[in-house]
Amino acid sequence: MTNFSDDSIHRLSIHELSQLLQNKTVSASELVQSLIERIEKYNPVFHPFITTTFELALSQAKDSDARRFKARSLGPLDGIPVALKDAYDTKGVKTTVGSWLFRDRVPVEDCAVWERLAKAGAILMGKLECTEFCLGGPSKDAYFPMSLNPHDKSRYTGGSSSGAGVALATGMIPAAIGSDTGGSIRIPASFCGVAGIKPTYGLVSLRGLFPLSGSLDHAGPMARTSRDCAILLDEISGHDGRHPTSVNRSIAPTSPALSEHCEGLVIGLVTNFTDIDAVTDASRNACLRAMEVMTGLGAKIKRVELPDLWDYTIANTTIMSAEAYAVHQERFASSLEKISDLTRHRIALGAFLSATDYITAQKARRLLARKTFEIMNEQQVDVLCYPGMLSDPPEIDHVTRYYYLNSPLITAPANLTGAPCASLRVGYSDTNMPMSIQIMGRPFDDGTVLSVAHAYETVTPEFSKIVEI
Amino acid sequence: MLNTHKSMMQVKFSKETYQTLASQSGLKLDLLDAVEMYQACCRIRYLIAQLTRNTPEDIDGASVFTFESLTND
Repeated sequence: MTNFSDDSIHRLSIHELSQLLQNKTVSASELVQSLIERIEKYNPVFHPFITTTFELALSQAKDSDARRFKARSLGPLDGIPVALKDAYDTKGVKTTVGSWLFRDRVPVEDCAVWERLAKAGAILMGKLECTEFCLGGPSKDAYFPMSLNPHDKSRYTGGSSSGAGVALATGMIPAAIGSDTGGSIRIPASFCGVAGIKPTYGLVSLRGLFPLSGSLDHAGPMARTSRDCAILLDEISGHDGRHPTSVNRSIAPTSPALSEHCEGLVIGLVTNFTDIDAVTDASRNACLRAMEVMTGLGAKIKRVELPDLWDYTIANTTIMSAEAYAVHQERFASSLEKISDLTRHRIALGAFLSATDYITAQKARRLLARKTFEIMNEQQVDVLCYPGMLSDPPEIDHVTRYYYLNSPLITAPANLTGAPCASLRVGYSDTNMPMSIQIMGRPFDDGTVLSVAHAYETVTPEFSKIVEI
Repeated sequence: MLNTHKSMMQVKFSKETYQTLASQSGLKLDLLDAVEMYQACCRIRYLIAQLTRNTPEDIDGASVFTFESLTND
């Protein structure tokens, strides 16, 4: 193998790195060593890692190189460095869920996602900062330092997979696994300027992921391109008989089916999500410009209207608050002072919800899901598109305890309906912050969602770059 | 008296309300914390009421969400 000294290796995608590994231009050990140096240099600045596992990573890299030497590569992820949100259990590796209470917690079993990635030859670089118990931050008083947005350190990274967004955007890792209950993959993906998909509910096993709200939690990939998300999703999806929410239904591998055009596809632009006052002109215009690009790629754009965004939002928030309170009630009573201010106040709201509220929200969830997919069928659209975020990431100091009750949550519809939904970068705002759109598909049609995103990225490669630091 | 939200009417915030908030939440709340939490609770109540109005259809087995339940719908 050659001595790979090119300073640009941290910029490459999983797809590109996989090819370099396959043709032995670079070894997994060289790749890992290069990223270790980058993490050591920039983690003290941006804090995306809570725990690093460099010794383990170098050992796994050595094993990967040995397999390739014997022509026994395990596939496209063999030798690819990955980091997990610190809510995923890893045997023998500290898993804190971002909380002082779990600061020394070492699981005895791997989560399902890491079991699958390890089997595919992926290399564990460490565990990524998440806001405490996966509730959105930003918590200045949290035990672990907050990840900082590399585009502007005074602005929020988005949560709760904040470390994943930052580590990808700064070129510390090419692949990460986040989780998403109300937008926790797509929000940091959007605010940090990377790619991510919340897959169909039940497609990726939640076993070993610390729950925030079991009926809304989704495990999913984050990376720098949608093609990379597809490569990761193909490895981590699949039925898991050891977890009750895992669906016994497989989908065709998504990465081989990615297309560079959108010929024959109909995209539904959700007008009542795009035109509301809460969406800034910049976000709205970025979404409309992206539709023009999609048209150029061969898609037909149709204007569609879904139920009120507030209905999705409050159903999602009610279910999440009630389920999160149930998860934490006992811990809450005994260790209140050890939980950060934002987290304890947000969890406490669940104490004021009744069983009737919860049932009302679950009923609404089924009705809203049914209506959403009926509209998609009636309008004959393949995917829906709407802005990724309402606006630029807020200043950290401006995020209040209950900010999420003041504006509708534009990521909620996909959590509530369980539909696959990707965050796709579509440019930069006047303040040079990344902007995005969401692409939502029918359940189990994650492949079409990623294909549309990939087609867009092939003609806009400038949006997939890492942040220059 | 305080405004719970721009879309809500003014409500009375009594000592009893403060005590209920503190005991039910389990939090140590100063008055400002309590008011903020009360506003959040009122906001949620208002939004749930609106959701109930917007989704009046009856549905069996409403409390369980699975894709099986969706496809059965």
